[in-house]
Amino acid sequence: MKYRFLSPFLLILAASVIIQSCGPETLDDYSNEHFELVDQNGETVVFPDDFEGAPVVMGFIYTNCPDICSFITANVKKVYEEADYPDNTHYVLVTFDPERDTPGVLKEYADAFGMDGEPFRFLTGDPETVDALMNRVSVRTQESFSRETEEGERLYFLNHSDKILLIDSESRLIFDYGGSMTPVNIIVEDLEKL
Amino acid sequence: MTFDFPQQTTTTNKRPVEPALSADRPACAEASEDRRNEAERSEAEAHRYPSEKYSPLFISLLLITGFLFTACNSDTSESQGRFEGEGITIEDAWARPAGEGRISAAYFLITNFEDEPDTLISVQSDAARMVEIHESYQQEEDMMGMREVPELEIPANSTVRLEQGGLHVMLIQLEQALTEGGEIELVLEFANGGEKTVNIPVQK
Repeated sequence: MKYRFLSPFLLILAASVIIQSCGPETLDDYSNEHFELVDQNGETVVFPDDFEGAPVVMGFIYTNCPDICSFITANVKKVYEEADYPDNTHYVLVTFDPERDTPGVLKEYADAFGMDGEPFRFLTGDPETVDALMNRVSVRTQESFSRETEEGERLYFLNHSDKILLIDSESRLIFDYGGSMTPVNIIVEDLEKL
Repeated sequence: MTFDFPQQTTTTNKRPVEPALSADRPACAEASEDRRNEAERSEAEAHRYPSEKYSPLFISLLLITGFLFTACNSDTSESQGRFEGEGITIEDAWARPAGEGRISAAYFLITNFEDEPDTLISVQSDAARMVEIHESYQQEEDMMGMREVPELEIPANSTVRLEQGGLHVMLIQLEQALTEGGEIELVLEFANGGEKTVNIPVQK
């Protein structure tokens, strides 16, 4: 007789376990990290501290890449444009080529995409810090080929990871996408879950 | 000269969608995967050629209608500088905005109506100090690479797409900023078709 009262409780418990296991799982946790970077306006930005409290859509680029990186940049902008609550999210592009991508260069790049302003942040930093960040988020780069300009300068191009990350408000990595490959509506749907 | 819609091109734009979660996933995440696969199928559907989606009869009707419309509006076709119906045509061209001294990319479709293949030997433009044909490609899992394409073959009766994530024209060291609404001139040199000059819009 007493088991009759136990059944609803077990059902609720089982349902909650199932629902919990179906929710987004954590792939990584950046909450203990501290990377001091600088944005396109020259302002210091600390990742992830300065972004805690709201989800982050984060892409990785370099500005001498007009094809794939432009694709990634445009996709981050589209996520903002298509999200139901875009103002509750940070939209961040981080360069993995800090020697060339100074704040000024990033500002010009952002302007070309109509993204020089809130809520978009384009981040660079000293090479050591940027390298450490790229290692932490598993973004890889390697030089592919180079050209010599008329001025005798070496212009190099990079093979690189194609990545957009979705980080929750507690600095946990929840989704990891092919940055140029993933349909934007999928990222938007996942963002709504956070 | 007749032309059938191409069954294949050298485009590399469409690639599989990466799984959103790279780690092992619970069984209940299958619904999420299904949704991704569905989205991927929709994406692929959107990029399919008409010949793959519609019956030959429907395509024939479309072609005949298009031909009649073109014949009745030859001024419009000529003013747009495309769809001559023979030789090489360039369509849907655009270039990405970028600042002076920076790098941009241009995209377009090249259709070869001839029964012989042709080759795009070079692209020139006063808009940039260096102009090259490049191709983005998936080097390995999650790694994208870019390589120069010295010459680009355009198979007979086929279209080759230069589009985002695949083949593109690199405009290196821009002579001036490319801003949305502007226009640049490209000169494409083909082995058989000679030079083709196209004015393409700058857009986001």
